[in-house]
Formats: sequence, structure tokens, C-alpha cells
Amino acid sequence: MRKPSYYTLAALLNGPLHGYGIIQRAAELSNGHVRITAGTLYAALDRLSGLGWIEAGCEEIVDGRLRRYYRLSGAGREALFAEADWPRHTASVVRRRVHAIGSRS
Amino acid sequence: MMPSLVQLYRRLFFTYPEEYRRAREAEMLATLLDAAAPGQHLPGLREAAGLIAGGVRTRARIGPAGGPRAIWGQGLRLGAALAIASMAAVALLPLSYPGDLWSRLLPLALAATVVALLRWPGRYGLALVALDALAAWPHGSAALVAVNGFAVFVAVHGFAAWPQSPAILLTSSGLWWLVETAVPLALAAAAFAWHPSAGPAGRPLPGWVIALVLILPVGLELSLYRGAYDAMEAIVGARVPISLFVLVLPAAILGFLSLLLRSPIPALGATIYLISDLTCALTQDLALPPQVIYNGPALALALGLIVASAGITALSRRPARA
Repeated sequence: MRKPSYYTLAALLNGPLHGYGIIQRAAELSNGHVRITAGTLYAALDRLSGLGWIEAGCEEIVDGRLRRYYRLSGAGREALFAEADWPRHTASVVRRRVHAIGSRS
Repeated sequence: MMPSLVQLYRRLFFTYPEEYRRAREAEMLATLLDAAAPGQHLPGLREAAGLIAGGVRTRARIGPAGGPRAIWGQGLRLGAALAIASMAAVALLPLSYPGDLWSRLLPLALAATVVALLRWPGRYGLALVALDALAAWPHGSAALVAVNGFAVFVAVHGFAAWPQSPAILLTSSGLWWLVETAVPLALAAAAFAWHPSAGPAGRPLPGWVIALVLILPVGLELSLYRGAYDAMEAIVGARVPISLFVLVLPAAILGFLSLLLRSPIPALGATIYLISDLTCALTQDLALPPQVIYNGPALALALGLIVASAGITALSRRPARA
């Protein structure tokens, strides 16, 4: 999973957010390391909507600006959890090998 | 007066397809303005680059989303346009020699046809082909010019110094000219016929594809860069026909674009163009036996190009990662 998609899903874990809200939350969650641009964000939102991992919800106008809120779907939550578990799985593959080599020597 | 930040962002949105802009522009603009610093007058470099990249990706994603019919429609149109642009390139060659006004206008008329074919399929394209036929009148025989678009290609070859008499079509060299003009025309006709009244296949191709289609064959044909010929002849180990040289770079670039954009359309267009051009070249070999252009290695290279383009067409249909 690409980094913008991962942080977009992670940003929506606590509830629906609009575009700028997702950008802000992603920056917070990554301690400022992930700064998603609008172009990248909407490309990610399109991909994730196409996969059924997020859903577009209600709209509102604030200061004359249109805000559309996105929420995480059940499938999106599962995909995010699977992705979050993946580094642990890949690390365990190496740890098991290192352990096996260590016990032989 | 300096354009406002809103106006500058709206200009950057033009990288996105029109229907996408209609659906998302207000929301994206709100996000961009929320993210802008107080008093900011210009889009940031990262934001601008992100919008341009997002627009290109969206065009690539939306293009093939219309299903096989849309993909074949756009691929066919691209292949037909490349074939016609290749013919225009042949017509452009004698421009370096002294000629009359008609001779100079013909390639421009052909270029207009290619643009029209891609940009407004099924609408103004046919009318422009008819105009081209009229522009070509002084160069062709009356009987041939009467057959509308067919006359454009006949006129091109009349312009490129072949006898202007219908009787020539009965000879063996006439067979080659007929095939060479009929194949791109059949492709163009199929591209027109394929055009549905609505849906993604009816969407005009973006301007940069049109520019690429025009620049590649015309530029290559005119450049006649000797060093590149020598390099290719060294690789193939035999004399390389000019027509094959003209095929390689467009096919390679379109194949690369297909993989980059994950869209089968450029590679499909290249495949159709390669088949069309090879058919014409082989007919020339059959019709004019003393001048066999496609020797064994050159033919193998041309067939390899077709297989590679077809392979890339299939490969580039893989879905993108999340």
C-alpha cells in the first residue's frame, strides 16, 4: 500500500474527515513526516473509493467552501489492519532465520 | 493585474479531465485554500507538482475505465492518427525543395486532419478530410480526388513525385500506392465508425497525446539523422529501411507511456500503427520486386516490435496498487 493511502486510512480511523482534515491528521500521525498534497490526496481518495475502502459522506459549506466528508468502510478497516500487521510479519521472517542460524552456531 | 490564488489553482486544474473537474473542482479548491498560508498569493511548488501529477494520473485512470470498447476505440484512433501522420511526414520531406503554394499547404492540411481526427472524432474530422481532398485537387486525377479522404493520400504521393494518371493504378507499383493509401484510410474509417455517441470512448484525447502523435513520425522522418541509422544497422547487422527506423522510436515511447500510465491505449495505438506500416512496406516489396526493402533481420525486428507492443498492451492493464 502506498504511504498516502495508508495515512489517509489511518486518519479516518477516528471518524469522518474532509480533505484538509485528512491532510492535517496524516501530518500529526506521522509527526510531520508525511505531508500529503491535494493532488496526491484526491488520487488516493479515488483509488480507495474504487476499492470500497472509504465512502464519501455528507457535504457542508463553510465560509463559502465545499467540504465533503469521507469515512472508513469495514473493508478499509480490515485492509488497514492487515497493512499495519505486515511489518511485524516480515520482521518475524528474518528473526526466525537469525534465531535458527544462531542456535546452529 | 496579478491573478488570484483561486485563479492560479483553477488553471492547474486543467490537467484533470473535464468531467472530473466538474465533479471535484469546488471540493479540491476548498482543500487547497484551507491548506494555504495566510496571505499566500502563489501555489506552492509541491502543491502545483502534486496537482499536475494528479491530473495526469486521473486522465490515465479514467481513460481505460470505459471497458474494452473504449480502449479499442481510443487505441484505434491513436493508431490511425499515427499512420496518417506518417503519411504527412512523407509529404513534408520535399518541403526543403522549391515548390508552389499548394505543395506547402498540403502537409498543413494533413496535420489539421490528424488533429481533427483525434480531437473531434465523428464531428468535424470528416469535414476536414473533405477539405483536404479539395486542397489536394490540383495534384491528383479527378476520379481519385472524388473519393474524399482517399484523395488526400493519393495527393500526398502525387506531390511526392509520382505520375498523376489513374492508369498507373493498374500497374504493379500502383498496387503498392493503393495499399499504402487504403490501409491508413481504412483505419481512419474504422476509428470514425467505432466512435459511440456517448461514453469514455467519445472523449477526445488530451493535447499532449496529439502533440506526440504529430511530432514523432514527422520529426523522425525529417531529421534523417545518419548516426542513428548507423547505430541501428550495427545492432541489426543489416541495412535498415528508413520506414522501420521511423517505427522504432514512436513504438518505444508509446510502450513506455503505457507502462508509466498503466493504460493500454498508447501501446495499442502503437501496435495498430506498426501493423499498418509493415503491411504497406511489405506490399511495396511485393509490388516492386527489384527494390526489396525488408530483408530478413529487418522483418524480424519489425515483427518483434509488434509482439512487444502487443505484450505491453496486455501488461499495462494490471490494476494499480492502493
